[in-house]
Amino acid sequence: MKKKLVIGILCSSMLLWGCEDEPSSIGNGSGSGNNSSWSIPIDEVFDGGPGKDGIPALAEPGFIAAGEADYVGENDLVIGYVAGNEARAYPHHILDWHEIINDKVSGVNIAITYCPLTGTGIGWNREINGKVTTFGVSGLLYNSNLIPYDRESGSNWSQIRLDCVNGNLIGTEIETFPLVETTWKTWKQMYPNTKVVSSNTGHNRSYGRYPYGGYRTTNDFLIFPVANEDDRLPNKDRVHGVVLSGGTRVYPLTRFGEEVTVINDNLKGRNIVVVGHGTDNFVVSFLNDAGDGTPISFTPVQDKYPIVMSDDAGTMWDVFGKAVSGPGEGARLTHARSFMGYWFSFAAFYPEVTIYGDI
Amino acid sequence: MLEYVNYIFKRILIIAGMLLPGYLSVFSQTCCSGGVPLSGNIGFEGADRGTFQMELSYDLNYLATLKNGTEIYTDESRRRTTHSLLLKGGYSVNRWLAVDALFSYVFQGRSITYQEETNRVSTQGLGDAVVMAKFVLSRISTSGTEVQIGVGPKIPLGRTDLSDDRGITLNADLQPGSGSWDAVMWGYYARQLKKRPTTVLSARVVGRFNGINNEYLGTQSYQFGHSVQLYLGMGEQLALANEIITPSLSFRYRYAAADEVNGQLLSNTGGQWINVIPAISWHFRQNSILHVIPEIPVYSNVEGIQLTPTFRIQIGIYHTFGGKEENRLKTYEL
Repeated sequence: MKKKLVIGILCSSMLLWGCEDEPSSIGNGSGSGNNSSWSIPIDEVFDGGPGKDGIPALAEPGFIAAGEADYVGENDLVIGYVAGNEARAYPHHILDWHEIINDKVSGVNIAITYCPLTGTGIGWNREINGKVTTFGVSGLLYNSNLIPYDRESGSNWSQIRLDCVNGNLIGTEIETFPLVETTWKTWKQMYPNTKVVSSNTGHNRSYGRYPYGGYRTTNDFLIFPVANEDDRLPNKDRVHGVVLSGGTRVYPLTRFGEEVTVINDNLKGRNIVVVGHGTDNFVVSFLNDAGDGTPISFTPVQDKYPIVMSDDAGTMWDVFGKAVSGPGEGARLTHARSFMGYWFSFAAFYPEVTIYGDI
Repeated sequence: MLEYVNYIFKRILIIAGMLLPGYLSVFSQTCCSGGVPLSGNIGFEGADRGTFQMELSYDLNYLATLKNGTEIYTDESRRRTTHSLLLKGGYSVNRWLAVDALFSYVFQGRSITYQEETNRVSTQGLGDAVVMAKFVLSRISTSGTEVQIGVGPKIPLGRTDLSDDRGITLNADLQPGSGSWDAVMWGYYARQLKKRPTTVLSARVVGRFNGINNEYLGTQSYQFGHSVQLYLGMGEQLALANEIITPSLSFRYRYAAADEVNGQLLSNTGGQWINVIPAISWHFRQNSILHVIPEIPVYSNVEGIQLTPTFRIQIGIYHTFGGKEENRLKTYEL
């Protein structure tokens, strides 16, 4: 009797202890609000492994001066943003581990969203329908791409589709802010007084180490399925994609040379200007409309960062599309919905995508 | 005759009690070492022809240690648990040949706490199974030395396409099965000390060579990394208050290669682990043993950053049935 009791207690206590932290049901959703439907195929959404908030987004992290950022190398990529007189750099070294940085720059509530698997960095407005929110990492992937969720409504969003795909805000498009992805060296040339995210984030991570091994240099290596594969370019070629309603076009970084190059282009009836520099590693783009439907004729400007182009009237334009001197000073070009990323990600989301130079 | 059979049973049980901790271990299938303990649990000691051995175990693997290489990261936000029910049976065809089989049922959970809100996901289901043919070259009950080798397949009975309550397919780490046929190779050596027959030293090696799941997430291929485990242990049989107790101490070294997706090495998978296993077995009936086997990590060097085991414990009941009718009845009456 005594033996049975001991054995029974041992077995029961093990089972109870082992199950104490387990939920009673399988899965528990991700707080997507009352609307459980998805605007993307649910069978193409995958659990990435770490789970919701398993990759911790940052919220208003600390910043340091450029000269103090010894964890960022000159050729390391950063994502730059400028609002008012503030220039800030968000290094890939940080974004690889956190994917989202919720920040406030000169009163602008911005989320730097970055997906290491698609190489896409996009600036999102954190003010949605008049409410300021923060974004977190849902742990889900669609076409191998980050699905952020907003903490105000719990809705899930697609980073590259640029809209809400699940939850109460389903169908809502996100407003984007222009970002410049380039090397730390180039960014400092453009904005020497920039601040950069401190590696003292409150999280213990190896910020100097890329966490995905050979992923970014191995073209045949996709960890998660994508809906459409396209071999017109190597999968991991970095391209600048312009996503307009009705049309998407990419501009491969490799097609920009050793000096600033301006491309005046037309995409589905919209005039756009694309400016980039292959060696200095950046491409940006803007809608090009003088107001009367005619495009402004831009020419490249060399060695005057952040100024990258001028127009026929002599106005000088910077890398964020702002007229910084000349007769048009103070004007601002409209940011095209555009961002850098791996080629395969544009092909996956926008199968009709065209490649500049191939048409 | 009955006394002889009882003597044999006692010998099997005593030796089993001394050897069991050496047989029990982890077998990880996943990047975070949270997999189902299959091949490490296969294998009984040699027995007489017609002997059937059986064991039912509960295994808890608790992972809350985030590591980068050998460095522990301070991160208390995440936990991963794997609860496994393991049913193991073994039948001795003759004194040289035996067949063991292991079936599993798995409960897995993952929880992340962010700003006091905890998100949990769990799965459960029938896990994979292992069947192994063993060749008993020498038995400890007759010669004082046990030498066995075994080989067999790991059969992919477990599902690999479970989804959460929204219908989103979970990743390989939370699936009860691996989706691949694997080969398990096993070798075992044990020896009673001549001057102290109640002490047994043992060594065991288990290799697992994994096949490929070509239906991972529908279109991908996934291959868990091959692995090798080495056990070294010592057990001592004691008589305490008219009870037979066998404490033991074992060390387990495990090496796992990185997993592969579509033929490419997957970062943050694979590594090396060394655990210490202080176990105890209680021969609570003539043919039955209760064992409690905690496992404590003492060293690990993981590839990249991984959630790695913090603690593990297994509790199980082992029983033998004789090959003859009267012995089975005798056993059941106990």
